[in-house]
Amino acid sequence: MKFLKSRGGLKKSDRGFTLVEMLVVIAIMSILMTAGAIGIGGMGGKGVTSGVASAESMFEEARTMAVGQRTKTRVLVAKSLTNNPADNLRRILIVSEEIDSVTLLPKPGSWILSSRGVTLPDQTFFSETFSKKDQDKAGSIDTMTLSNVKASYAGDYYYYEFNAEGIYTLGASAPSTFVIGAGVRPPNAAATVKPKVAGSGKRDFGGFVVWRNGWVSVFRSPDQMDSSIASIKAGTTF
Amino acid sequence: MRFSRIARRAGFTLMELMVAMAITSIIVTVLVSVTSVALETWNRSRAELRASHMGKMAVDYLARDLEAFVVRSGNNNDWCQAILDPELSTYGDSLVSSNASRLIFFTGATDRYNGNAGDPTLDQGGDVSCVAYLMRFRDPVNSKSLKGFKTYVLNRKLVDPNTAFTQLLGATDSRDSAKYLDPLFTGLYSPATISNKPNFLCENIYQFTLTFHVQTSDTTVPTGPAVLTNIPVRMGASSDAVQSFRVTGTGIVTEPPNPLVAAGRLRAVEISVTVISDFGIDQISKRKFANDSKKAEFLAKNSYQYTKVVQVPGI
Repeated sequence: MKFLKSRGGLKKSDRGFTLVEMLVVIAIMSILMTAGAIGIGGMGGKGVTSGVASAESMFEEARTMAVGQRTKTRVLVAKSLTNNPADNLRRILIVSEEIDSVTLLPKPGSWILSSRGVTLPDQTFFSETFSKKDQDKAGSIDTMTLSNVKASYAGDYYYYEFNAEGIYTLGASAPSTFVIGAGVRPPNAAATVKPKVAGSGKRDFGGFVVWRNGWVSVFRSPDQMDSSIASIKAGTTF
Repeated sequence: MRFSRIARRAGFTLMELMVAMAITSIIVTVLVSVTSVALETWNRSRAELRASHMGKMAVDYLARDLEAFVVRSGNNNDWCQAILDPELSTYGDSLVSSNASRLIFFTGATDRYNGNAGDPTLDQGGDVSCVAYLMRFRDPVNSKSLKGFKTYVLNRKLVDPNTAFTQLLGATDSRDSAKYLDPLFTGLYSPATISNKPNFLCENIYQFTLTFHVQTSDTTVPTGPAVLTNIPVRMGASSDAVQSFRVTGTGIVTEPPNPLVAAGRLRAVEISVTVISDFGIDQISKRKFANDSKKAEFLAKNSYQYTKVVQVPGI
């Protein structure tokens, strides 16, 4: 009504929106979009789901490689790289035990790189706290040092080991867990600086258990991972 | 004039605001629905892929063990025992698996001694292991969590040759019902032990049916030479199936008994498993179905069936 009445004298406002109008509309739109985005995002937002998927495929590759080549293989997760700290807790590699070309027997302790590996999506990190060697006990994953490789790969790694039958040998009494989380870490931080939970907490974690038979089962809810994840607060290190 | 222009510029009407909001919410709804459909499809196809992978793997394990089935004739020992699991019908809420059996038999498994066969420090000799397959309904990942995700889990317990020899192989004697393989095995390893986490084989498995193919000579034909026939013996709760199937050193014993089968020889085993995707397991406990055929239709859509016939080595 007001619009019709003022038609004569208000040519200017007829021609378009004012800046304020546009700003308000954009503001409302972004609020609604955020609400929508929260509605979509279930467990494992912010790259966690795709990170879990690519890690899962690395474990499958390592197990298949162990059976196919009849050697031990390991899935490695960078703990502290000598020359490439940005990839700490993010780079995942596969190594296999070297076979002696003369005796055709494996050389214990000599590991060669078998896969270029993957890097977890931005802002997602392997959780040193929640990934456990024995799901039901305290204690983290075993570590090893990788040398004789490209400078950017050399350093200390966490490892999950498969034997020539494809059996996950470290899970003889209970399965191990592999957990990743979305969080923040200062760029080029030292290996001792752990990433921190950024926002919604428990939704930012995902992962799987590694069974003795070498297969993995993905976590379906945060309750399955660790009791403390359900109530984790922003700023907590993982 | 000037006054009204300022007033006009200072704000906009409720009408304009409402229209803007209506348009925005329509756009957002469309965007959200499009993205969530894509996301759900991706998640669901990943779960389905995983389910089909696991189902195939379980069948492969069973097939490998059955191909290396060990049986020696001329003794009273039990070599294979399949018993319809009495506990299974009490689980599952709205998803009861009725045909699954507990299967125990002797086999030359290659993953004996934790896959270290041939390693002089870990291999304690022998090559006849005993293996048991058992299905349970529980949360495979975290049995302590109350909000856990319960599903059917198939477990595989392998007893290494040294233990199998001293405690099982020599100790079974089917003349004495207390020395049948099943009570001996479950005496040593209770169902709770068999379904321990390290024995996990496959999850989301819903149906696990075994059919034993027995070759026998048909003596019901009154005249002429005896004819060799194959009799399929299916494990199940219905009247045309058997509730227990045992292979002993002298013949085959079934419950209910069948004289034709008793004189026969086990030639092949048909393994059939059905794996449901995570989505299917989750929905079936939450959703209400109008009738059983609607439920069966939903199950068929979200599950994968694998069947394999394995030739069993002869005596």
